[in-house]
Amino acid sequence: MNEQLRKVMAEVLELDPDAINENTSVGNQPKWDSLRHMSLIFAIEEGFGVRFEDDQLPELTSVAAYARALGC
Amino acid sequence: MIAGLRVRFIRNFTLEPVSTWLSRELAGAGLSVSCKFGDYAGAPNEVAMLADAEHMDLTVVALGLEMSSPDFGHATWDAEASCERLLLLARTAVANSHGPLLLNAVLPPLHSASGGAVIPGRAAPEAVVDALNLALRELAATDPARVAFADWGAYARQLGETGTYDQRFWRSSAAPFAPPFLARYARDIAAVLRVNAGRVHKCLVLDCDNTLWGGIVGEDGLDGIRLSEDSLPGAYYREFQRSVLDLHARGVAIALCSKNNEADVFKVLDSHPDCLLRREHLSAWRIDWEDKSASIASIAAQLNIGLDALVFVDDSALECELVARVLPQVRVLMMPAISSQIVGLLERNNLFEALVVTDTDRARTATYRQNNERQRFSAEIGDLAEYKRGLVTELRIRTATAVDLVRVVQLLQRTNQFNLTSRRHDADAVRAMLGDPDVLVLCAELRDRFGDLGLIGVAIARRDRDGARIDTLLMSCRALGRDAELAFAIGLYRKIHDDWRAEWIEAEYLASGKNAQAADFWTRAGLRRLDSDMAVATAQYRSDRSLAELAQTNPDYVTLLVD
Repeated sequence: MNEQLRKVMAEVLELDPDAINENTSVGNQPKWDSLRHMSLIFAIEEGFGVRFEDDQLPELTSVAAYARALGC
Repeated sequence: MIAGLRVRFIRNFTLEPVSTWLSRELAGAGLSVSCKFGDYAGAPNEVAMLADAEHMDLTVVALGLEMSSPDFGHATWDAEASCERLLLLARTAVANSHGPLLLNAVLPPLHSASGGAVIPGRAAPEAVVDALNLALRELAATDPARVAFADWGAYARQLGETGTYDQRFWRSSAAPFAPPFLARYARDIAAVLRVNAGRVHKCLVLDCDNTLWGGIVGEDGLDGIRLSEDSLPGAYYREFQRSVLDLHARGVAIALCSKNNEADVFKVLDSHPDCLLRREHLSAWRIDWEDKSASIASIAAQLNIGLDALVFVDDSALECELVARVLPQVRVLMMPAISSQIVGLLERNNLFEALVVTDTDRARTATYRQNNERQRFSAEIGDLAEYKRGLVTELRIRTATAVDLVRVVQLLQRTNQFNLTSRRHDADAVRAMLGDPDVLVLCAELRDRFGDLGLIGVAIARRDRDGARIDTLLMSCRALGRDAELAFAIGLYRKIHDDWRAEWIEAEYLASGKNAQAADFWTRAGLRRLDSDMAVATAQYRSDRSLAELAQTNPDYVTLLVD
């Protein structure tokens, strides 16, 4: 998976980078609550220089969804 | 890395994402942080309970008007009521809390619901918010050593609408502020934590060519460098110099580190009509062709401050990279490639934060300069004992009063090298000590033939039955190297003996990683070490000789006056 994505995920979710993989999602990561959802969007928008559309926001609940949205 | 700092947030909106930026800010200073957020709707309750709340390194009371009412900023919004409630929360927080606290100015509505029209008989919401901000600022100023103030209005001015607000999460999650705003806020929160932890930057080390002026003085000559206010990029550099002088005015030492001919650089400083920075502003300089990391290390040594107290600014990516690699403790700033961004570089990075600026701060750069004279005097005399005698040092020791509180707390925060225990008591703790008959808080003031160094030492002792324990003994690095610290210890013994009739004293040395030079101090000051394990980082000492005898010792080289 994209290393920058892994780094930001690990930072915001306060996890070891090795604990993040393609399958990480809201469903299997208890720390990924609604507040972290917002923090992740902020940190990833800043890190990748992008801005997600309103209808994308509720869908960004897994590493796979971020990878799709960022095209990485 | 120091064990985690703990920060409590009391807030009336969603603020959790700020912790990402706060962690980043502090990681740069080798500090880690854990954030505890109160209930979103619980602020009134939490400020009321602060009196009994557990101690934290900082309590951030983050109150905004954005979520004060669903019609915030619209024609129906009751600005007076919202502002009154907020001020009451802030007042309660200040009255009930003990440890360090951070308040903030609030933002007025972005747009005027009246379209800017005056509505007779009704105060404009902007004016109501202005009055609230004035009251909040005054509230913080009632206890400046403890209560810091974050100016959200300044962030909003600097960042603009899209840098300040994020409508998506404001409207969906009660989180009004955008990442740039949160990052800027985190920087100020980190600054307060760093100051309280004794991690402050004390000296700005500047390159010259393409940093203090445009161009290269060695090639372009005195007339060729760009520093004129009437043209670009000269005007940018001149504005940058003004920012440097602002720092100088509040006590930051200014040093130059440049690969240049010294004479060329001083020709600019002494005689260029547009150069604002002058020789008398400098505390140290290394202008030669030496490696910059070595030069920077020698500037730190000359000023007697740690490498982590330095900020280095250079336009060369190569030099910045080298210094950052060899001296990772030094904070390195590179001049922006886009020259208009030179303006405000130092302010944006806010590396020279201070919670309060005291008279001693304002006089500090003069002291660094006097220290250069002292060093030259030392070089002339050669013999160390003769030098110390020749300084004609006078150390006055007296009991601290409420007037000294701000400076005493500042010394407790800032002093690293000659600090036997490095206990960072905060303003509340010191205030309580001043009123406690079983605690002695002493100040030391020093003057010599070159000038007055002001209040440079703090000692704290606690009475224990027929004896006393020394909690703190510290002296600013500017006053070291002349045995004034030994004189201070004798003065402390004398006070303890005279005030309490104490028969014994116990003291300790706690290694902090920065105070190795004080490791054997208590032995030099006449005490005996109790434990014999030489490896331990903490050591206990006790008076063997009678305290009366220790108190009568006369210090070498220093005239000791005990009030």
